[in-house]
Amino acid sequence: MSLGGGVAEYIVLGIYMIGMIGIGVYWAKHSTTSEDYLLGGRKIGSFLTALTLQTTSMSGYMFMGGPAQAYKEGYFTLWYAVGDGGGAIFNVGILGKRMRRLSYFLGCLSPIEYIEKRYPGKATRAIAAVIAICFVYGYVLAQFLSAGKTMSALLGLPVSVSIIIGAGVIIFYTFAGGYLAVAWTDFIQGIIMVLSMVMIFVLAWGQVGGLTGLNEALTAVDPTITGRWGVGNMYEGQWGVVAGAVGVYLIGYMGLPHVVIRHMAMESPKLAKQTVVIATVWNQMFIFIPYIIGLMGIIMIPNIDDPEMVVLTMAYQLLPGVLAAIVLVAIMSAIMSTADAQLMLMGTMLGRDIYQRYINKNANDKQLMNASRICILAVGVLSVIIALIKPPGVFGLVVFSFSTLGSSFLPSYVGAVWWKRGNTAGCYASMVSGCIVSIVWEAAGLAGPTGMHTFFIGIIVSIVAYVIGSLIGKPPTEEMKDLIDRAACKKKIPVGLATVNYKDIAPETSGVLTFLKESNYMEERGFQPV
Amino acid sequence: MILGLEPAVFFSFLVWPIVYIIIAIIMYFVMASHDKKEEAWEKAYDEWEASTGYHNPLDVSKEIEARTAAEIAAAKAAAEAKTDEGGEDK
Repeated sequence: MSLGGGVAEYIVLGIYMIGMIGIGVYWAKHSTTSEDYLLGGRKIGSFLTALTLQTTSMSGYMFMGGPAQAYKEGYFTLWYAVGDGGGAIFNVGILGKRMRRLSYFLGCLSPIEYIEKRYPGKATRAIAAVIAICFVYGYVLAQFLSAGKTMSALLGLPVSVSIIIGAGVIIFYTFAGGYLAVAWTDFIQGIIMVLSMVMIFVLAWGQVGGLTGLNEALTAVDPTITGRWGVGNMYEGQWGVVAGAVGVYLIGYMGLPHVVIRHMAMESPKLAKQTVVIATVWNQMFIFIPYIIGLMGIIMIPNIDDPEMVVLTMAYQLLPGVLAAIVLVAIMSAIMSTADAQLMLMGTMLGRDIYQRYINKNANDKQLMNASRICILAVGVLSVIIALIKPPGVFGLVVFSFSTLGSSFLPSYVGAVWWKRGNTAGCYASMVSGCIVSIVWEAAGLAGPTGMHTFFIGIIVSIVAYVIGSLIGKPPTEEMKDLIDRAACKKKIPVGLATVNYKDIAPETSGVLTFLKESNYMEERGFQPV
Repeated sequence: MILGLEPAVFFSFLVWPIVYIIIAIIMYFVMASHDKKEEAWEKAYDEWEASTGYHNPLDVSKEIEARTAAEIAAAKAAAEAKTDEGGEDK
């Protein structure tokens, strides 16, 4: 089916693609070090951090899958939005500042390197890298397929041509400009995405008579559409399903490496507070609206063939040609902003965690940057080839990759900065168990019969394994605990008396300082820390 | 009915955008007050570190900063040298 396919669509999409390529070329000239290329020189401001964080989290699902689900299941689908809407509060609030500080102290450029340095062990990087590379790759592949299918459906081009064009542009600007190109394209894509959604929402609002008119009309069609348990009350009393739907998106993003790397690239930990507000406001506009548009579709287009096209069909009903074409660009933006972040992460992991770690340990800055670029190109081309030859199902691939990555890494990322006792044994146990349980749960198709989402069961097992492993395993070194305290700004600074330059007086007095520190001698006698 | 919905449904779904924005604004001020405390703490810590000469061996941030600055300076110097050479040719 082709909704668009007119001259306006081709012109608007062409301008957009050229703009994205231009951003890639610009930042290619301005990325001088590997830190610039892989983490934007850790100089990403609050607006850019907030939008790149959220656009990376939100894929084309929000334009197609989400509204389609609302169209079919009614208000029940908004449970997902309830969780998703608060995701940034949890993600930035819990991880933001501390992860930025600890990754900076440890000198990490990739989220896998961060895991390895926080949980030192011979197999840490290998396990983490294998899981991350396999499942982030699955995610990249799914996004390329989405881009191709969307362009094909909307423009009437063959799927293969659409995949090559869509993926080609993403690969080019990520390859050329690195993290800064990804962050700036995400920023622009984020604005296009939210403006398009708001535009359709405002126009549809008038047509259905506002929220009251919409809800009354929906109730007239079927009272269960406006209920809490789905059409025909199919989920009645199933609070476990509701908890899963809310919880998955409320906390899930903290386990996704391509999302948490955004914390590491922040210019300063102090930007976390602005980032929370910007990301949360953006979320409320972008997350709830698509589901409500899906509900509006029930009234405005009652007999649509493909519910995934509800947003776009409404756009073509409500907007003039050029503006409707911008909605098409917005859908591509949503897909591309997720795909570029994942492709960038693949390049970072393969360059930093594989090439520099195992192949060329003495690689200099330029070699590392070039290796990452080559990896981005190689992964991109390989994904296009697989997508063309044997394309897997998009939806299943996304859900599977999300669940496995989240279950494998969430406890390790959160525990890294919030629990000093969290150690290598806990990290291993959590990564391995989270990954295996997710794969088995998905492969055996247990989500349906048990009513337990794959992510939900995976994360519970992974958290339990992390806690047990950490309690049994060897505790982290004093230096690591010291650094975690510093990342939290909680380390007790020794008392003033002890901080005199004891080395200037006599070297032996350093023993006195250690004694005072370890025995809490001063604190017990009421001396206050400086 | 609130906006055409049962109150239980309305409060389950449609109050969250407002609740989240309020929470985010409260968090902003809480984090801002923490920032002030943390800034004072970081200053005190730096002073303590300087006075005792203590350095955590796992903290490589300063070495990386110095190395990056040196690499940027070297790249700039090389670029300038190239420009100078170009000028002479002209």
